[in-house]
Amino acid sequence: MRYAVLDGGKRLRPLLVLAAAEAVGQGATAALRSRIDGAALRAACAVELIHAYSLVHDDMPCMDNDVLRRGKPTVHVQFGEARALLAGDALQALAFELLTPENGAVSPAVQAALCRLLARAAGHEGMAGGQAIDLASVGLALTEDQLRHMHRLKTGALLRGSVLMGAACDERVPADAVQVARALSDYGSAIGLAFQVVDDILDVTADAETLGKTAGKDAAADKPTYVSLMGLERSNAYAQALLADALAALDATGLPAAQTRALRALAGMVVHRDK
Amino acid sequence: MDASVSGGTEFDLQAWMAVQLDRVEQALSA
Repeated sequence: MRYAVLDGGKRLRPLLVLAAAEAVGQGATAALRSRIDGAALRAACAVELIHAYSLVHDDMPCMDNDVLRRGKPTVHVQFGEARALLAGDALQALAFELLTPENGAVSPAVQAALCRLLARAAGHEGMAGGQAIDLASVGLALTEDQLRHMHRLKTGALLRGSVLMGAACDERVPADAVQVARALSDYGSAIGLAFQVVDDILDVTADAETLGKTAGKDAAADKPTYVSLMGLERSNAYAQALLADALAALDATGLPAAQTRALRALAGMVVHRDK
Repeated sequence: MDASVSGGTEFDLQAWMAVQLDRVEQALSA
């Protein structure tokens, strides 16, 4: 389990949780601020554990059959398939245990909200459902809408969920809570899609050493990608448009710009990264 | 340095990330 988690990943999802909690938590008393910070750190780790479990399972021979991840042998290569399967199972369980401390550090309402958001993001209407569509799509000519739907679930749901979990760490329910949640959801959806578009671009423009994983894998597996569907130039333009959508969504939260600056900068990092 | 201008003040993403990632790595390692 530690091999799967402590491997120098980008930690984008935890950063989104913490940035969203920072965005909504301004103005809280010191005591509440401390509770928000504590809940956000738990949520950040829980999301990363779910992400790590998904990578362990997705790399297995019955799925994407990858042997290299972040520059190291994948978990099933290192430890065998049975232990990889169990490690993934246990990481998923640990994520929810982390969200439900018995010491009162996180209120029951926040615990429930965080568990609900994480379960939705990871389950059949999220990451797992998207992976199922991905596996069923090999060799098929997907439309742009079908590809977008798949990625909204497969990668977008957990990125969007990370943002919403960060916001849910604040126990207060302000009058404009619905507006803020909707706008943050739009932000999360936009960067979720942008992340995948850039991933597809890097799969054809970066080498394995830079990526830390097998480059050109999607094309070799005959998987539909944004680049194969739209071409490189249009894919780059699409990523930029999604970044603009994400920033506009932050404006629509109505939160002061100073509070959303980390979310704003992270959106730029997602689109302009080189690995 | 990866800094961006936001809300009228310069925001140093790398510095912010360093602090947050340290918290996350410590919590994940525990």
